[in-house]
Amino acid sequence: MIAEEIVRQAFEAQAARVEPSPDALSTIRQRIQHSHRLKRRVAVGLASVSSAAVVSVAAVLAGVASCSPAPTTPPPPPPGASTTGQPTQTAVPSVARVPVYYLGTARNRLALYREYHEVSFVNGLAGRVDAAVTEMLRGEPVDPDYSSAWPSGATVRGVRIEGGVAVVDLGGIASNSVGAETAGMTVEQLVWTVTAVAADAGSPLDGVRLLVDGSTRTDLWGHVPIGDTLRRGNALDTQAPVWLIEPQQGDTVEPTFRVHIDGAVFEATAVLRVRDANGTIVDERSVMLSMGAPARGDAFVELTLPPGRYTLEAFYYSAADSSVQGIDDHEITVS
Amino acid sequence: MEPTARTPAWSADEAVTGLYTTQYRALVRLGTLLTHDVGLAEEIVQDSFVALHQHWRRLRDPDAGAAYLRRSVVNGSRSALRRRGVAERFLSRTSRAEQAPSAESLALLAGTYADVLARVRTLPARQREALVLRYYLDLSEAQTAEVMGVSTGAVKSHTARALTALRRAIEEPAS
Repeated sequence: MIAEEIVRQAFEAQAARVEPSPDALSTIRQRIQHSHRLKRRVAVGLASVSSAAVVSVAAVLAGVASCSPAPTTPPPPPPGASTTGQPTQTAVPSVARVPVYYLGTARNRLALYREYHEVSFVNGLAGRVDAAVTEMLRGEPVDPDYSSAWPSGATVRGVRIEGGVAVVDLGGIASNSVGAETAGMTVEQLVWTVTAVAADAGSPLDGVRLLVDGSTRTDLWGHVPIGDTLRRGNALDTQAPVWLIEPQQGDTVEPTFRVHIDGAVFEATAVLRVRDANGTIVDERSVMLSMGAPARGDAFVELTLPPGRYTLEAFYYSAADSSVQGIDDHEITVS
Repeated sequence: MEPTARTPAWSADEAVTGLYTTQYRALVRLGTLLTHDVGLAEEIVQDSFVALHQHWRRLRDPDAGAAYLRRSVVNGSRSALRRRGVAERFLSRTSRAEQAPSAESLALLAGTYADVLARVRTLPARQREALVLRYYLDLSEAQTAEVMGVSTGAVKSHTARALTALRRAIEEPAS
């Protein structure tokens, strides 16, 4: 019985971390329409050939097959062959919500916050990483409290996956006037984004090799050594202690909605506070995350609010002096 | 899985929208437990909805539609893994995931769970399916048999073998 219960809990814990793309319904509808169009084309093709012309029918069908929508499961690229930055021929873009990290402040220093952004990509894992890094370089987080310090005009020249490492070639980043802390966290932002995208896609990577305009460099902006493979820094030092994951900044939600909080906090206790449009606190509650610091845990809370504009604040109270720490706030509208 | 609301005579489009609302998230999670790949699971689930739309005239009923989607996701996951060369893939992933303690999803789970899930990924496909259907979806042996298209006896033996393998992982966690 014990084994069964552990298996049940392990499945639930893993499943709870899977958040499907928010807009999959429109993708499904597009694919249904696409398959209708293909069917009509088959019908036209069949009508135009005589019953004796079996070969022609086969040709029509073969033609249809070659322009069918994204295959259920594209054949896996051989290890190391996943590459972007080169022209592709027949790939149909996939759309996915990918994790993208941004800089914010917590405890008076820079920390990484994660958002999910929808991107379209081709070419498997390398393409997914390419699209996520391009989105990161675009520097437009949904939450205005977050930012990005990559130089404007920075671009992804190509991404390839080699031996468990993503080789990311960036252009337009040779110079940037930032201090040591910002430089270090900006490189962490890249490493966390790339490795999170890979882990989310089910293919964890060990790290990132950063090329600048196609070449290896010893350091970036005079502050960060980038000659070797870059690996994630310690999560406690780089990630913000509390993330308000859902709803995202600016979201409009139903009167009853779910709040997703993630963090590494003392005794796994975070706080969720709700302020109305006047800034008055209308709700405050402790939220027990699934795990306490130093591990990251998360929790889902269901809230019901009358229609209006609100600010959700997720944070923790300092064990030392009960001050509010690590606040992550999102403005939302309840419809 | 929650029962689907009875709705008289849905059109195929309405069926897709209605079942998407109630089933999509759970199906992606089911597919992810079976394939350990969220992106792949989403593709498989989306394929299942496209197929549901095509076959809706035959299914008609929301419950039948939900059962069809579940079967379709289990079968789709199995074929996808077969095509991808499941054994090598899982082995390489497992070992790499264990070296990467900060990997986004798995490593954030408690140690025992991570050990159990890593072991689940090395089980033969049928054993993994039986476990996920029985213990994640809480289906009965008869319902699991129906989804997998096998006998109840086969479900029993797949589940028993899988649990024996997992008990070892629980009692002797990977060092």
